[in-house]
Amino acid sequence: MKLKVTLIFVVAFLLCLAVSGTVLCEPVSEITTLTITSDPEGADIYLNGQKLDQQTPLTLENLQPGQEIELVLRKPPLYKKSIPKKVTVKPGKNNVFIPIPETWYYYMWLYLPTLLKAAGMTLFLTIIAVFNGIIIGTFTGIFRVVHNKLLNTIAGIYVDFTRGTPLLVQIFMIHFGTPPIIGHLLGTGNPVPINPFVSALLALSINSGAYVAEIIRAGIQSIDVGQMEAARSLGMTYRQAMRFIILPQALKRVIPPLGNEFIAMLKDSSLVSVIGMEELVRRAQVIITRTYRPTETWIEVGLIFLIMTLPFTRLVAYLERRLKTSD
Amino acid sequence: MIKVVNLHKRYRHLHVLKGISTEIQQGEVVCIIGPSGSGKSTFLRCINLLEKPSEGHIYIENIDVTDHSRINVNEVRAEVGMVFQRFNLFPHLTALENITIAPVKVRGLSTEEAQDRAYKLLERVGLRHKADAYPEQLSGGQQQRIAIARALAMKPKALLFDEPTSALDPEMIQEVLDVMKDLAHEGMTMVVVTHEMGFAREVAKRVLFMDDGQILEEGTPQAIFSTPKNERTKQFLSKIL
Repeated sequence: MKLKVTLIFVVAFLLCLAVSGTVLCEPVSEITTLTITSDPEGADIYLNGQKLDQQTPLTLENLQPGQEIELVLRKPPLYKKSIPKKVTVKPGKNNVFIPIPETWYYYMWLYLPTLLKAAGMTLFLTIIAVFNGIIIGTFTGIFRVVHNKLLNTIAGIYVDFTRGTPLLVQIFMIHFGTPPIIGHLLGTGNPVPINPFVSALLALSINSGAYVAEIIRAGIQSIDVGQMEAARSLGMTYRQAMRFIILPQALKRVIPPLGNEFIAMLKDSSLVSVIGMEELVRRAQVIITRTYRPTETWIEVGLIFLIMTLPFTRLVAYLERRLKTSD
Repeated sequence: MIKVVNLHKRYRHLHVLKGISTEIQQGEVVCIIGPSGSGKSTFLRCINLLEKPSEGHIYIENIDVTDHSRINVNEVRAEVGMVFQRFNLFPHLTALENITIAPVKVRGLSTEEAQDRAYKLLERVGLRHKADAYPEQLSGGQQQRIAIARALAMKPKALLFDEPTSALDPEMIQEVLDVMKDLAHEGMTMVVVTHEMGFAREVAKRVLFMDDGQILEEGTPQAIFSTPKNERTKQFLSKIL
């Protein structure tokens, strides 16, 4: 009996405590807040379709418990808008975390600066290679037409070999084929590795030289034989006729095909990626291993190549048109 | 001044010149006529060694120019000017530069000297006002006159003309022939391959009729045109006169 009474008291006390507790605690946790965080942060917040002035992370105050809110986050231009999230505000502190999905071009944009830098390397490689090619090719081209069997033969072998083998094979020959030879020549027998940049430049220059040689040869041979005869009939030597009469005319005609050679080399230079030369294609491969976004990355690489070649294609077409009218 | 002895020219199996012998005097104007493919142009081109003779000798002022051991071919060519059927002006140079380039580069004249000479020559061919024009801006007749001035700028001992009016429009032929007549009257030694019978009749001191790589008949224009002896000459002249 006594125990029963005691139990009732205890229960009543606990009840009172519970009731008073909720009543008494109420003012302490009076503020209802909602903290919105997102990945990434700094996103625009749309609350029930209304854009707020501030961005995530943000803590909203003055909310009524039980209030229903719909949240959408946006972070243009790289992210899609988030899936709408309905939140029922509970009394006290509320937290909501919303991930924002990336757009399909997110990685294209993210790696654009890296790829552009690599494209700069591609362009640099090409310019140097074609510049070397023009120097090698001018001499080789002239060697092919002069009346000297030895020079004809040497130039012929070089041009035939270079044009008759794949550039990829030439790159391998230089990068992997020559180190043992250098080692042997140095007497140590240990292969001397070549810097990929040096191999790439060598291979591209040698390759370009052969093609330029053919362009120069064709340019010289396109000049009417009457020009050489007229020059010789005036007492000029073969050298003088070449230098003052034939070459100035030939070089003018050679400019558009040289432009085409530059465009071809810009594209073919991508082959040096196989020896680890960090140019545009190689850089793209590295990015893809990190992002697993082959489609976007390769489209982007293609576009970068297109943007680089297009002005030159137009320039060549313009020069060809102008040359046609002046001929 | 030019003496040709038994000149032969063969291209592999083609026998183009079959023993040409003739002599051209100082100040003489010789016209070579004949059908196409008779070897007229080849003969002319042999004289200034644009073609290498296969056999025979050519003497210019008693020097055997076919003797390569003793002769610098370029020096020979500088002494014998050539005017081509298709002008062959240098298209990348102005009229003036076309004329000055050889004297400067070959003779070693200063640019001023060469230009003085060039302006006088341009005056002579009536094209002083075209000095700065490029060949493409000139008519065929004007181009050929510039080409003659270009050849004259080397002060050659003789001038060779390879059908100089054949590539010209009819109304431009006369202006070129007039320049050539002036040259003839001034005593220039000239060998002219031509189809202009009027010019040959008027200016030539001697006419050579060539066919099949040989000189079939030669004589004064009067003799050749009025009383040809060779059957082939008669046949040829009857077709073109």
